[in-house]
Amino acid sequence: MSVWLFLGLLVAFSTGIRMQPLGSVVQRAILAGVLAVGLLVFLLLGAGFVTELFGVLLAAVVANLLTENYVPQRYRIALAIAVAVVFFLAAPWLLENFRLFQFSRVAIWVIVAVGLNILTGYNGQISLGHGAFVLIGAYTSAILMDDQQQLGFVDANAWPFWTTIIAAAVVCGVAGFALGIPALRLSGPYLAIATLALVISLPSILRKYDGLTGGAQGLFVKQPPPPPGLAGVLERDEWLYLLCVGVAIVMMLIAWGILRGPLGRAFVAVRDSEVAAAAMGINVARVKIAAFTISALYAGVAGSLLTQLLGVITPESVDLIVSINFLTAIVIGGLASLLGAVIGGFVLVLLPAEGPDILGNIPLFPDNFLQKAPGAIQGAVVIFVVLLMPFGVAGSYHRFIGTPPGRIIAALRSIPAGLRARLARTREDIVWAWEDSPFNRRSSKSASGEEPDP
Amino acid sequence: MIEVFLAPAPWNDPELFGEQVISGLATGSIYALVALAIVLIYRSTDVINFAQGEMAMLVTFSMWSLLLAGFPAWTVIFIGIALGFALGAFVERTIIRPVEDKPPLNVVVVTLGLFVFLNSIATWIWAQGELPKVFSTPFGFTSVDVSLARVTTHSIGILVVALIVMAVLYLLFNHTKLGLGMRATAHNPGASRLMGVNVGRMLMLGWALAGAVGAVAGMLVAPITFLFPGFMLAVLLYAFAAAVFGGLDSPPGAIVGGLFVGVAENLFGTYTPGDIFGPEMKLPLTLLVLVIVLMFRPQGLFGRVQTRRV
Amino acid sequence: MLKIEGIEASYGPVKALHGVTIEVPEGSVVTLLGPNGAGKTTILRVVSGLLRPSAGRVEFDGRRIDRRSTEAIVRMGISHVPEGRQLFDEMTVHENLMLGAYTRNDRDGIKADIKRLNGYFPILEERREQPAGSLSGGEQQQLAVARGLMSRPRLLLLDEPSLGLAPLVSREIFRILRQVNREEGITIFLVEQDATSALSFADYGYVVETGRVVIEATSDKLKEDENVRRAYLGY
Ligand SMILES: Nc1ncnc2c1ncn2[C@@H]1O[C@H](COP(=O)(O)OP(=O)(O)OP(=O)(O)O)[C@@H](O)[C@H]1O
Ligand SMILES: [Mg+2]
Repeated sequence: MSVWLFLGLLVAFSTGIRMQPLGSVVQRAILAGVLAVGLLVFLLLGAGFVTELFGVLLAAVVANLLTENYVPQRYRIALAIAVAVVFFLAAPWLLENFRLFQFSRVAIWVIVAVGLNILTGYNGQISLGHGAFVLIGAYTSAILMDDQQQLGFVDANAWPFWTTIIAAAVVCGVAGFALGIPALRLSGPYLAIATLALVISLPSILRKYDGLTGGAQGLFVKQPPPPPGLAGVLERDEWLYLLCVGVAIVMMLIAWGILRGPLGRAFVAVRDSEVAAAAMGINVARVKIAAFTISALYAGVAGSLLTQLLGVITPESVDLIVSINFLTAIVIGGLASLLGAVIGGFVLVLLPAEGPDILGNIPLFPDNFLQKAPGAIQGAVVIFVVLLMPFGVAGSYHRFIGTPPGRIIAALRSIPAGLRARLARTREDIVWAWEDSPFNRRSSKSASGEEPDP
Repeated sequence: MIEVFLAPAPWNDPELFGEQVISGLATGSIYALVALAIVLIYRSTDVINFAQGEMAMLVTFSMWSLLLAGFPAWTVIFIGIALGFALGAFVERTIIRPVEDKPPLNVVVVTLGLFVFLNSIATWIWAQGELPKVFSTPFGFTSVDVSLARVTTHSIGILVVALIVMAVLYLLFNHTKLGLGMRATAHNPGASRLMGVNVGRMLMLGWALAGAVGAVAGMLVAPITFLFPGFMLAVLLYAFAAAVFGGLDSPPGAIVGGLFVGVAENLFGTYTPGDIFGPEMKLPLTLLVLVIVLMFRPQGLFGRVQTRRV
Repeated sequence: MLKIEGIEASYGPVKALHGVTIEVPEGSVVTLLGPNGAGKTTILRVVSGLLRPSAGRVEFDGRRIDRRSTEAIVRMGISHVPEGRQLFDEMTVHENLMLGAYTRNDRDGIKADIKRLNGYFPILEERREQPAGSLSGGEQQQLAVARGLMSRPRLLLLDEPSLGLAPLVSREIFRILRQVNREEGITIFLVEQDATSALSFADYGYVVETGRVVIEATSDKLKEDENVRRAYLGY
């Protein structure tokens, strides 16, 4: 059932994406064929939620390739938005609860990924420490929502949940601002390690000052119930799902607005060349700090939602691996691309959760490997994606779509020649290595010019 | 929870202070070794190898298995070093080289992916039985009196081994042709090619050496922390701190940084008031010092200011 | 000795050479002139194996070298003194020279060669333990040439050795190069902006523009050529 809804959603959604440069029938046919084969392989590999999801995604792209020229853009976008709205509203009744929970987490990680992409993808500053901001946001929310002992000096009463989202955003924004200033002085690798230091230290600090943070046990909060009007209609989990997805959509729209505006252009200009940006009258320091602030603010909002969703937050809720995964997600998804952040968010949640199921259908895998070493799959996938798609999934997609058909055909044609040349070169290299070796007396003579080479 | 733990001041208990400093120097020289491995790789390929610790972890676990299978200790040590060397070379050839000319973040993500991968593989292979596993040291753990304080033979062993490794690396880099080629490659790979240096081989060798040095560090740490898949993580973090502190492109910096971090860690753990800081805050405090140092010297104490690349 | 036949080469999508054919006979000095961006450096890069040509061939002593590694090419006896010197700035003068001899294993020969080159470039002896980056521009250029000679090449590729040097220093370098060519029989393939010096030094010359050879002739003929005079000699 859910699959068919997905189908509708994704077809509509992907038809909303412009594939304009993909003009030629040949190229469309090639792409559609490749994707169809991929789809087949996927379906053969086995059933399961992710398989269905990917299958649907591929089907959507194929459908889109074939119809784009015949349905006007306007209608397709309208259709996409309509289906999306219907889907997101209907999902609570269509998906099982644990899927809703999973998707809520996807929404939360997408918010972090969008924020990190603003910093790293668009502005070129690396951060391995965004987990720290997520934790700060999560604890801010938890402390404010608590009506027991925490932060009595601020307010002994529990704050309404939505105000704590804003508070978390503000607190993290300030933290990001504070970190952005010293970050100005650090070059890439030093910044990476400094931010790593931040995310490593934070859990010890949270555990140590347990008067405020509840120490190793963490803090429990009452998850917000559905608003009065919807109380009879929605369960709490469904309401939380809608909350996360809704906030994620709003945050994406805001990011989209920022990135296409002057600030977004300044981010990119500074990333590409600080000198040139400064020459254009951009205040480089201010722009870089702004990127840090906005980025941390996004992580804070995500952290706050995490508190609401989980109902509990501990120093281990966001560990080093999760923090590293944020960076991994945006690189795999595609740097400097909102679509990339969304893809990354999905990969982050679904790969560890569903990866073993998919690969479990491949015959030769040892059984307990998949259960005992999910990280091995994750790590291997990350490495391979980066090796095969240096510009991420979204980047490769855009590139492929943007390549004129002639170039693709020429590239395909040149493969045999390239392979031949490679093979030939290897052989020649071997011969030369011999010729140049000290064991080859003939060559050393001829090299000294006494004997002409035959 | 609230307790005031503050060790007697150094002048009241010089023995405690001496012990802390010497054992700090011992762990510090392990950090120095891992930091050296990081610096070796950073200098030659401009890559921060986040998987350095996990590579060492894998090697140390393999050594544990070999010991269990009854191989003699010295053979195992030798195999371990060779394994670290081969693993480093293999990683560079297969997954680092293809991303070398790609956006710099890609390399970062590849080493992070390797980190997750190796960690998980080790968990799969070795986490079946009980953890952590005991890893013995050829030096033993007897306490001996040196003039001021009591230290374990293992600490002394660590110091000696670290010194030997550093001496070997120093000789290799400064007094052999191979070392000359490796240094040249780190400075200017293009010109090195014109000199007839096989740049690709030098890069691979840099990673291989780093792998071997990391393996040595792994087998020195394991007797103290015992073996479990995450046992190198804390070491790696302190080593990063050490490398950054000394300057990511400076081998002497890595050594000074390692020793400094090792001693600082111990002193923070001993001499800070327990209700505010105390032992469990020594990592954050050490990292805080690191960040403060970076504020004043963004390229570390001995690092070069980057002017070449724009 | 060196034969370049119809080579084409590109940097990514930009094609820099469109079929260049050049010959450098043994023992001669051949110079390559042309405006900025003509592709002179690119030709040298192809010869020394830093760049693979997409078409054409390069032969050295009758053996194809266009697909060989730079290392193999250096070992065959070609030495490339690159544009902008490319010294190892943080290493000492002595270490730079030793790197020049990287492909050699004869310790005594290397020692003797360093001594011999110190005869040509006395300054290098004085600055032996100083970092190369601390030398003046002229001293650095001398070091670059000396380093290029340390591999005992039979063909020396020089990319603008006089760039940024005072005329006096530049003349000194050309004098040494002539000596190297005459006394040691080292063939020289020279890229130069200073056409006057280059043509008085070389036997034969090529002019390249936008990746093609437009004129080739003996130096004397080139000096007479109307276009060359106007464009490169400035009279
Ligand atoms: N690394 C590179 N990447 C891209 N294009 C390059 C690169 N190097 C050179 N080019 C291009 O190739 C062409 C030839 O360059 P080349 O350096 O060979 O010129 P040149 O004749 O040596 O010029 P000059 O006298 O300024 O040294 C130029 O158009 C230049 O823009
Ligand atoms: Mg040039």
